[in-house]
Amino acid sequence: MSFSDPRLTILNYQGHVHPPGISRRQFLGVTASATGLALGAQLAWPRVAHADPPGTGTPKPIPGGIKPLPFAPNALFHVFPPPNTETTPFPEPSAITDFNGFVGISHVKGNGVGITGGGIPDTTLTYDIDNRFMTGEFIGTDGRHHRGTFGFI
Amino acid sequence: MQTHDFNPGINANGVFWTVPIPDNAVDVQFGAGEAFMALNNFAVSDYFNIVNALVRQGNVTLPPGVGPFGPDDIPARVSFDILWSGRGQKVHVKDATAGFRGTYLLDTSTVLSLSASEAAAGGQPSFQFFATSSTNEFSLLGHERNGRFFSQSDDGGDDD
Repeated sequence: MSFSDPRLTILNYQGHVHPPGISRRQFLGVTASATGLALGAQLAWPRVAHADPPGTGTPKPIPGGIKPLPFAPNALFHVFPPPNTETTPFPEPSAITDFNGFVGISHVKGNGVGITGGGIPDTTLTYDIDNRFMTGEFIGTDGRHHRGTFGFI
Repeated sequence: MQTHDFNPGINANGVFWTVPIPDNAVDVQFGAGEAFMALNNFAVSDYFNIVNALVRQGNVTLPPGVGPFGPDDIPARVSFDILWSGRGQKVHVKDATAGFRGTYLLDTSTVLSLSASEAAAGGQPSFQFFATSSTNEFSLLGHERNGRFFSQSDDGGDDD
């Protein structure tokens, strides 16, 4: 999630080396074409063969992704920006592969207040978040089936 | 100008900004088009802007004269409650090239609360943030199978 000062113009990314003021969403969005509370978990687990009992495990990244840094054109980041109803092709929402489960994306913008150094609110800020979850079964780096819940934060 | 960027970093194997969270941090009722995600005081880092985050997390070697894009990251905490609700447009996606398929509900999500905080560190003063409004840009709730599950369970019929 990112915060920015709305009094300053947010510039559109133009592929410069120094992209000042660009938000996470803008950054990921425009680069996609370059290559991507107390709760009771009542999950209907998908039917999967050879599922092992729940346990810890390390998931693997999706194979594709984006190369958003013009000064490092080979730097690949294994994520795609959130799609929308007009995005073609539909980018993969999950950030982990060998995964079978539920995924959620929430791309939200808004306003808020910042407090620097304690005391009273002293700054009005905008925010831009792309938060996701993935919950279900996955095959980890150990080659075994696991169940887990992950947050893209 | 972006002033803060909170994320948990990239795993050594490349998993991007995705970390384990408690199972009870997420509740999904897919048939009803509802889900809830909540974290409280979750440990992340503030990289101040996304370019700084990507450069540092991606171990990117900067060409001469490029950067730096920000200071070292400092520890931070975030809290949020997000609600997905309603049954909007349902889309079925199958992408054999990327190796995933899924059924997705494209609808609205709402941030019920959002806050962040960090102690003074690294030459930065302490900072707190509290959201006062939210506007949904895009949201999605879906059931997805990818990788080996895509190839092995292609006709599983459990997307709905």
